[in-house]
This record gives sequence, structure tokens and C-alpha cells, in this order.
Amino acid sequence: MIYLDNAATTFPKPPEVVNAAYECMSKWCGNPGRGSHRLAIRASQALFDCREEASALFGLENSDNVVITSNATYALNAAIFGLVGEGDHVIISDLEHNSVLRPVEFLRQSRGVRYDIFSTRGDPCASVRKLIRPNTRALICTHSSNIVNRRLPAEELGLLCRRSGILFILDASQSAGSVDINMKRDGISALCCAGHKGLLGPQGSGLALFADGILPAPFAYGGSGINSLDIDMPEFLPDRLEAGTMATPAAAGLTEGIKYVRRRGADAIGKYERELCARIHRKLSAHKEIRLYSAEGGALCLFNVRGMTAQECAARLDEAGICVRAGLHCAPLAHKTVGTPEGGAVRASVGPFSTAQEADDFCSVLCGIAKNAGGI
Amino acid sequence: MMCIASMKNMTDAHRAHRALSGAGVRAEIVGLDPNMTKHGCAYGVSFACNEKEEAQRLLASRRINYGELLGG
Repeated sequence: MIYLDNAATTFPKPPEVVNAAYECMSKWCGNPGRGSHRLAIRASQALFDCREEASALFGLENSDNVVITSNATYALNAAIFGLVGEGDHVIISDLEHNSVLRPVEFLRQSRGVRYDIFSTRGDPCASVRKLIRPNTRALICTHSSNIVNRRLPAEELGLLCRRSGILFILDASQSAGSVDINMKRDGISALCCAGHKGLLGPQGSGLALFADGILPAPFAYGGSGINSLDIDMPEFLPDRLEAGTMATPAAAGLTEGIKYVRRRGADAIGKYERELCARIHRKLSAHKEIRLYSAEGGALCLFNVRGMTAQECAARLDEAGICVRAGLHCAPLAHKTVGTPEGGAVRASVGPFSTAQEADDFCSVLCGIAKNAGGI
Repeated sequence: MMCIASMKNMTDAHRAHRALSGAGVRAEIVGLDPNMTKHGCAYGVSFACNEKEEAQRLLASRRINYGELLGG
């Protein structure tokens, strides 16, 4: 089996991630922050460790500002709903995933929030600058697209936001773990990402990190394990945004995933993935029956085979033991920007454990499929 | 005799625990009796009262704020 769907979720995970989640569930998984017996305290230690690792990876001084979520979508919802309100204006990119587009659209319909979409072609900073209004509250955008290898210049955008007095909410779902991100240097107000993608943690893990002084309104309400007599959620992070029992096994695994990334280096992982993916692009670009929508420069390859729908192509690859994802990838806006057909395209995405042999085998199988499909 | 420094939240409790334990002060994270606090459930870090001054110094040096210092 060749797994090339790492942009959806990375697989396999480092053994230490699996062991940490297993050990948590089998040895000490009390309810963190609920009670003070040894297993509850041990579980809360796991959350603390996760916050510390995450804050170290992303250059955040205070690990209180690391909110552990169940995925990137929840993290983005917490940041967007917590920081954008009635009458605000926000700016998003033309490459957004539905995890940004849908919350913003909901705010438009329900709370009179207005939004504009900037073009990621050319100079993104110039495009954003033109859209800033007096009531612009935030720039909310992806760091790296989930369908093409286009990365936005976070540091420049962060500087623009800082100078314009607006918040910068960055969706790092596709870049965390393979790009060096420093919240302070890059001027990021809120950084949201999945834990189960480039950070190599288990599914059910995600992170929302906030710069000092940013205090979002709560997104979910309920038990926090502290200040139980107060009818409101706590006034401080992370407790303010962590209602209900946390996914401790996922957090325990995520801690190990982040440790792995820190050991190997996000930039080194990114370079490895880019080289592997460039190899795929070079091989596929020579085949006239394969239409490539992506270019080199990232960890994924978006394509269609002429005479075949994306779903059919993915099914044929699956029959050959190759896992890729076809369709719109929850990013119809981005697909429209890129110009794929109605049925979307096929995405192959490499991860830190993909190999050159796997890349070659994938290309060989795909070229065989394309050769047979030609002219149908 | 044990003293307890009450903490804002569990994250601070762990931070305090790490600071004290790392410096050789035997410490434990404990739940506080809701009757003893203004807002209900809360956590603190306990340590021997005869190490109170050292504990206070360590917490201050690491900028770990605590609420009340109970006992002693």
C-alpha cells in the first residue's frame, strides 16, 4: 500500500505517537482538570506538556495561550467566532477551505459581518491592502493551500496587519510541521492548525494559539474544571475556550508528534516533502494525458487524467493499492480559483515518511492508468 | 505542616509544580476545597511550610502568580 493522502491526515504516525496515545488510554487516562486524584492530575500533565511543546514550536512565550481543540476546524471556529462580531469586516483569500469560508459566510448571514476575498496571484499583500476598510477586524487566511503548492507570505501579511491595526488569523493546517512558523516574528494573532496532519498527532487533535493580549469570546460553554461557581466561562486562556472533557489520548500523542517535528525540524521536513513532490511533478508533467494543476514547491500534486473523472482515477489508484483523494477537498473556492472542472481533481500528497520509491511507483501506476484512459 | 499556593488554573499549577520540583522542593498539585475559594473549584500546589520562603522565591523568580497562600 502506498499512502499519498497526507494533506488529509498523515499516515503512518511515528511509533512514539501511537505509544503515547495507547499508554494514556491503558495506564493513566483520568479526566484532566476534573478532580485531584492521581490519574486526573496525570492526565492534566499530558495537556500541559502538549501546550509547552506547541508553544515552543511556534515561538509563543506563554503556553497558557495554547488552546487544545479537536481539529483545525474547531480551532478556526473558536478564533473566528471569538474575535469577529456584529458589523465587522474581514478579508479572506481565494484559496480558503470551508473551515474558513463557512464560518465567515455564517457570520455574514447572521451577524451582518461583511467579507472580501483577495486574490493570491501576484502580490497578496497589495491585494489585501486594497481591501482594508476602517471597520476591518481581521485578515483570515490559509498559510498553504490544501490543493495547490501556493504558500502565502505570513511574515509580510502579519506586518501589514500589525501596521493596519487588524488581527491576523492564520490557518496553518497544511503548513504546521513543514514550515518554520513563529507567531511573534510573523505577527500572527491567532494560529489554527490540525494536530493530525503535519504535527503527526492522532485524529481528534488540533490547536488554536493566541498572541498575548488576544482574548476571544468563548465558542462553547460548559464545565471547565475550575471556577465552578461562576456562571460565565473563565476570563483567561486556555480554560476560556476549553469547555468539556478534553481528548487526552489525542493530546498525549500530539505532544510526541510535535517533539518529532522539533527533532527533525519543520524546515527539513518541508524540504524533504518538496523534493519528493517535485520528483512526482517532473515525472507526471511529461505525460500528455495528465493535466497538472499544481506546480512544484510543496507537498502535493493536483491533477486529472484526460477521459476520466477524478473519482474514477482515485478508484483505479486505490485498486492498485495507492491512497489519494479526489473531489473538491472541502475547498470549492480554491478549486474555482485554480480552475479545476466541476468534479474537482485528484490530489496526491506526500508526508515525512513517504519515500522516493513510493513516489516512483505511484507515477508509474498513474501513467499506466492515463495511457489506457487516453482517447476514451 | 503543609502550605498550599492557590493557582489560577491547572496550567499554572503544573508550571508551579515543575518549578518547585525542579529545584528540589517536594511539591504536589492538589484540589482546593471549594469552600476555601471565591469562585468554586480550584487547584493549588502544596509543599512543606518550612520551605515556604524558598517556594515563594522560586515562584516569583519564574513569574508564576499565585492567589492565596494557605496554611503555615
